Amino acid sequence: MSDIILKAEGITKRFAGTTALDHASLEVRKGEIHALVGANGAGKSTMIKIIAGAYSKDEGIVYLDGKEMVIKSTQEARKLGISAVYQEFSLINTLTVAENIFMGKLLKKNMGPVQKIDWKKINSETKKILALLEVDIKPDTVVGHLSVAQKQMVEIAKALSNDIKLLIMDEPTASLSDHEIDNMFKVIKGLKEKGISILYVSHRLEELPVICDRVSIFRDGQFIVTLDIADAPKNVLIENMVGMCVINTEKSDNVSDVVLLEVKDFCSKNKFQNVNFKLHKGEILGIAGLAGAGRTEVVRALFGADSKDSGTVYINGKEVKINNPGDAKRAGIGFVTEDRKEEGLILNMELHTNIGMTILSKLMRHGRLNTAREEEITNDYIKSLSIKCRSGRQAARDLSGGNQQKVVIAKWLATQPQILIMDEPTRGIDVGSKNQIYALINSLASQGIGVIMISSELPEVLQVSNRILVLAAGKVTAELPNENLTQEILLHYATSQTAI
Amino acid sequence: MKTIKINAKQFIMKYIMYFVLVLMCIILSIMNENFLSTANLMTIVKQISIQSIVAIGMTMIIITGNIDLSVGSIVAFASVIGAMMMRSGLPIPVAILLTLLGCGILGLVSGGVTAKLKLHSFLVTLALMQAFRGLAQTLTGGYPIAGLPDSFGIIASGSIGPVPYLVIYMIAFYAFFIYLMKYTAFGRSIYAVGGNQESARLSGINIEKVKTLVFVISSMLCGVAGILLTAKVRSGDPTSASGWEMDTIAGAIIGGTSMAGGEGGLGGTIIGLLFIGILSNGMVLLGVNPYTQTVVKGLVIFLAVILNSIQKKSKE
Repeated sequence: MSDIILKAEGITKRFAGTTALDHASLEVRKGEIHALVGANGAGKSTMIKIIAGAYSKDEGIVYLDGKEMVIKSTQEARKLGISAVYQEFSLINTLTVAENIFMGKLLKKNMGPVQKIDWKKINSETKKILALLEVDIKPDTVVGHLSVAQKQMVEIAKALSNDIKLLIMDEPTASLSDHEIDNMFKVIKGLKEKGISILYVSHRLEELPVICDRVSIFRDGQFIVTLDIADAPKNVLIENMVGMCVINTEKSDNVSDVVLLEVKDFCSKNKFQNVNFKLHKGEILGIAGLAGAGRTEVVRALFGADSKDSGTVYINGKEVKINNPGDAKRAGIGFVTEDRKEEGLILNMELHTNIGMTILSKLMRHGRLNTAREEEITNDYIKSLSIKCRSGRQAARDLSGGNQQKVVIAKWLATQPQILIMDEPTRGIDVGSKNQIYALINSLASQGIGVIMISSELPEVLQVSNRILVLAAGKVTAELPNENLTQEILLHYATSQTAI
Repeated sequence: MKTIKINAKQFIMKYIMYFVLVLMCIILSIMNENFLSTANLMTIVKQISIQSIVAIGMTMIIITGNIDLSVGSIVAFASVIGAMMMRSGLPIPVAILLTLLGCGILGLVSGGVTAKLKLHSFLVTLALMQAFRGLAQTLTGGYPIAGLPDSFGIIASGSIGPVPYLVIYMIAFYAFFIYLMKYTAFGRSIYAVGGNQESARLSGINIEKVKTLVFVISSMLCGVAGILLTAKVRSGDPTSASGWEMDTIAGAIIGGTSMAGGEGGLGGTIIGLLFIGILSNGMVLLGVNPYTQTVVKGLVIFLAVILNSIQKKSKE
C-alpha cells in the first residue's frame, strides 16, 4: 500500500441533473506517470478537478499518502502537494514569467519596519526552476510574448514552485508541435525521476506508450479498468473507451467534375501569397501544412472573416464578392471554426439559440421569430448528428467537446450550405466522436456539398480527403490527388520552399 | 426526492427578486394601510414610468455588452430642443418628430463611433455625456424654457379612468420591446453580440449595425422620455434627468441583466425599477429622513447586486 500516492474511491459528482462521475475510483503510484483516458464526457476533467480541489465532490473519499484528504480549494490542494496544469492557461499575459510563477506567494524581505517584495530572490528562484526544466526563458519576459509551448513550461514551473507530490496535466501536448512534444516528454520524465507522480490526461493515444507507465480508462462517468501500458495497445484502449468496436469509415468517392468553388490569386501581405485552388461538387479537399503555413488565414479570408489584399472567388462559375461572413453565408459557404468556444458558440446560451443564430432571417415569419421551427430544426440535428444532451434547451457550456463541435456543425448545416469549411474539426475530441465526424463529412460530400477540411493531423487528412492542398509559408507547395500518398510525402511538401 | 429538492432551490433562486419584492410589499402594507391603495400604487408606477422608457434602451445596450452614460444628457437635450421648437411656433407633432430625429442622430454618433472604431462605449459615452449636457445648457443659456401650450401638457398629465397616460405609454413601450427582444431576429442578434461577439460575427451577424442601431434606438427612447418629462412639468429644463444613467443601470442590474452582456431582459428591468420605486415610496410613507433614504436605497441596490451574483453562481 505504501507505494500508492493517491487513491480515490467511490467518487460521485452531479451537475444540475446529470451525473458526471458515478462512484469512480483511481489509484496513482509514487513516481509513476499515470495516464487517464476516456471519451469526451467520460468524467476525466471532473475527476482531475476534484483531485485538484477545483470542484467539490458529492460522495467518495480521496486519500493522499494513505491519509484522507479534505480540501475545499485549489490553494489547499497545492499546500498538500497537488498541482494541476490545465489546457486553458491560468497565466496572466501582461505579467512577467517570475510574477506569474510567484503570484500570491511573492517572497518578501524586511526593510526595517516595512516588508518589501524581494525581486532579486524571486528572479533567482524562477531561474532555478526554469533551469530544472531545461528551458531557455528569462524570468522578466512578459508572458504574452511567449509561444504556446513556452507558456506551458511556465505553467509547469508554476506548479513546481510549490513542494509538489502529484502533478496533474490536462492535454499538455494538444497544441504543441512534434519537436515541442519531444521536449515536453523529456521534462515530464525528468520530473518522474525526481519522484513526482504525474496524472496525465490525453486524447493522443499514440503518445501514451512513449510516456506513461499505466493507464486508467473512464467511460460515462465510471471507472472501467487500469492497465499496464504494455498491455494496452491502441485498439484495446479504444474498445474500453467506446465500449464497442470502432468503424473506420472509408472516404467518399462520388466527386463530380463540376467546379463548385474557385479561389484565384488570394494574397494577404504577410499571411499568404498567390493562393489558387478549386473545389468540386461532392469533394473533400484537405488542406495540410505546418503551424504558421497560413491554412486558417486563407479560409478565413475566403469566408470574409479577415480582409485580404487581392483575389477573386468564383462560385458555380460566377464571381462573388465576399467582404464579410454575412456575404459568405449568402453565397452558400459555412465555416466551422477552429476554436469552438471562442468563435463558434455562445456558451451560456441554449443549443437552439446557437443553432438558430445563422438562420435568424430565415426564421422570421410575419414579423415574428418562428421559435417552434427553430426547436424543430435543433431536435432534428440532435437526432441526426447524435448530439449527446438533455434537450435543445440545455446551455452549450454543459456539453462535452465533441458534442459542442457537433452543435457548431449543426449551426452551419442549418444554413444548407453548398460549401462547408471545417478548420480542425476534430481537435481535442475523443476517438468515438472523431469517427462520427469523419462519417458525417463523408455523408455531406455524398450529398454534393463541397468540403474543405484543415487538419494538423496528417493521418486524418489522408484518411478523409479526396484531394490535398499543401501550404508552406503562405504558399501552395502541392496539390495532390489522394492516391498512394503518405505522411512523408505531405511533410516533404509542407517543408518545401518552392510554390507550384 | 433529491432532484425535487434541487429544483425547488433553483426555482427560488430564479425568482428571488420577485419574492423579495412581494415580501417588501407585504411588510409595507402592514406598516402603512395607505400603501396598497390604488392611488398610491398608481403614484409609484407613474413615478417610474418616464425613467422606465429610458431603461429599455439601457437594458438593450447592456445586453450587447456596452453601456451608455449619456442617456440623462440626451433626455435633457430632448427636453430643451422640444420646448424651443414648440415655443418658436412649430406644430407639436412636428416638434416631437424633429426632437426624436435629433436624439437619433446623437445615438448614431455614440453608437457609430463605438462600433466602427471598436472603442469602449464607457469612454465614448462618458465624454458625450458631458458634451450633450453642455449642449442642452448652451442652447438655453442654462435657464429652463417655460410657457408651453396646455394642449402639449395633456400628453403627460391625462388619464383614462384611474390609469394615467404615462403608465399606458410605459406598458405599450415595454410590450413592444419585450416582443422585439424575444421574437425577432434583431432581438436575438442583440443577445448574440453580447454573448460572444466573435461567434456572432462569424455567424454572419452584422455586429456593427446591431450595436449602432441599439444606441440609436436607446437615444430615441431618451427623446421620448425627454418629451414626456417636458410635458409633465410644462418646461424644457437643461438640468433635468441628471443621474438617470445610474438609476437605469441599477434597474437593469437588479432585474438580472448581466454587465458582461448576453443575459437579462426587459421584464427584469421593470421589476428592478419597481423595486427601487416601491422602496422609495415606502420610506416616504413611513416618514424616513430623506438622507437616510438615500443610504438605504444605496445599500439595498448593493445587496441586490450581491444577490444577483449568488443567483448566477447557483445556475452554473
